[in-house]
Amino acid sequence: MSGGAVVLADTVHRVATTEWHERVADLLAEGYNFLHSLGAVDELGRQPVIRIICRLWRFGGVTRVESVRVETLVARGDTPELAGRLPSVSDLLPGAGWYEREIHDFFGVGFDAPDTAAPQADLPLLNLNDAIRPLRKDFVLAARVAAPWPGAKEPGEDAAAPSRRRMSPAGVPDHDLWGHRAADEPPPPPDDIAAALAGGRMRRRR
Amino acid sequence: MSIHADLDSTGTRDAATLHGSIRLIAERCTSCMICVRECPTWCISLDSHTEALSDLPPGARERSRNVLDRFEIDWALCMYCGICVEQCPFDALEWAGSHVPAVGRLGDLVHGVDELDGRRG
Ligand code: SF4
Ligand code: SF4
Repeated sequence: MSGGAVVLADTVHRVATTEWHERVADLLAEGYNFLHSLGAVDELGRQPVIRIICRLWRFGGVTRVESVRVETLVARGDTPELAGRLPSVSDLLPGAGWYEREIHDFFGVGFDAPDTAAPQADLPLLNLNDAIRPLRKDFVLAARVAAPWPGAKEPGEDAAAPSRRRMSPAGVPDHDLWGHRAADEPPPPPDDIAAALAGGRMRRRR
Repeated sequence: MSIHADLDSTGTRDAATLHGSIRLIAERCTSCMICVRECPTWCISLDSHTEALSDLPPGARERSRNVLDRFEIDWALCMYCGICVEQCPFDALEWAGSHVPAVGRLGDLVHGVDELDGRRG
């Protein structure tokens, strides 16, 4: 048996949403015909976009793999319904349809079917409520608010000390941001929520 | 980068890199809480207390160290992501080859120091 295949570092193509479909088609024509993955990252807190990443592989024999990554930025919108859209590449890579449905369900990004006669993009993978797009960074993991977090204690302490600046786990924002708010108070800015969701020392009360 | 970095030249898996379970090297653990806080599934928990160091030269400022009392991984929650192994600054956690055996009750998948420290490749 051989020692395994070498995967070369990704060559990255950053393209506008309008070039997305064409660039994937071009790379397929160049022999990058294995869909490694198609995923997304919510860039909230850095830029108000969802980064869509498609990684394609080209095999040179069994020991050498060339890898390209096509990336594009789609507007995230303040709410999932306002998220941007992208042309589907499922006409080029049928397997991409599943990933696109995942991205739709988890981030709210819609995909336009290239062939409008068969509009299969935007079919949900799971039947989530429109407001539940759990991989958007301002989505609060509500079950974690109630569950005790093992990381709340400090080293050497046998119980969480409420007097100190507390640690908060990722996915659970500061109560000041997320908890009970007066009816006339505006909702907290999404990037504040995103920062709080990263966890760490809680910010002092303002 | 290799997709089969854990295969040696004969194509067999090196036990130390087989992600069967995670081993705690308890004497290296400083109870710093980093793995507990970084674990995405909240499956690590520990108790510790501080103890004054006794072997200090006369006149030295009092110092203390953390002593680990309990360290548990709940294998029912662990997703083998390796974040705890990556994050531990003291190399007190490492991959072990042996898999966690099946049990009859969910609670028996919570392993403490004895089980975690005794686990070898
Ligand atoms: S491998 Fe991942 S899920 Fe398992 S204990 Fe470590 S950090 Fe937690
Ligand atoms: S990160 Fe390492 S040293 Fe710190 S508590 Fe975890 S195992 Fe112990």
